[in-house]
Amino acid sequence: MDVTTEVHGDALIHRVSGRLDTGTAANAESKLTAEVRQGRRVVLDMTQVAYVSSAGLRVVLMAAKLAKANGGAVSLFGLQPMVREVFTMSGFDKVVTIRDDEAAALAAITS
Amino acid sequence: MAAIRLRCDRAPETVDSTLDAIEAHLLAAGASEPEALQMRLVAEEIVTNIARCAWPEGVDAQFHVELAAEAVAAGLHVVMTTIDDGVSFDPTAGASPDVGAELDDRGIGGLGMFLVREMTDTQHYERTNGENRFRVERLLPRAPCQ
Repeated sequence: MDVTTEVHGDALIHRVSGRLDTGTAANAESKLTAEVRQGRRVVLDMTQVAYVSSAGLRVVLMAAKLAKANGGAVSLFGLQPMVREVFTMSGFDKVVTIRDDEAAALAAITS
Repeated sequence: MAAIRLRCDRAPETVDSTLDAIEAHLLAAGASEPEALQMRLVAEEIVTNIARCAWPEGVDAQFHVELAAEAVAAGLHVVMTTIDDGVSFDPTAGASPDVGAELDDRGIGGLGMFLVREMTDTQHYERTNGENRFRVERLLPRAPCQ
């Protein structure tokens, strides 16, 4: 699991690649929740993520809760079909902001 | 396709290599990559839970995963069984998480086994001779030849 980060105005885009699972969750948590703890607006680009287990869902849930608690925001885009299915199955599509593309994901947290 | 029996211990790297072996076996048996990843997820939730919770912290222990993927008329029939001698635990007995809860009320407890139930056709648990045996089955359907 790797993350590269780009700055887009007031927002950040974390481009995530690899798998979000038990083995990568601790690393993902430290990389994906640092800025939302500071109230930043963050987009997660999931285009290159082929696999998310419950350990990965937990990281996303934590990011969403921290964003809300600290006045920030988080949105996701580019979910692959299997990842999307896991989010839908678990009801996470209702508690985190998911958009189809980068522009919509950025708009969702900056509007 | 022959069945395999994998020996696993509690170390995260052993768990990971066990999951790699499960994924590779399913791909070799004819599962598509998304199907193999779905079954890897099922295995991850079950195996991780055993490695972390079946024995007191610090206790060295081993357990087994049996995996069979058999071509049948309707598709590829996958059967995965975990066998461990840890504390008695019935994965089918847990309450399902409230998947309709709002963000503030949403927790992560029970989600792993919920995904296992959603992503498999059947789940069977038994405790025999001091061992937990948890078996899940999933038919990966194939369209019949024309």
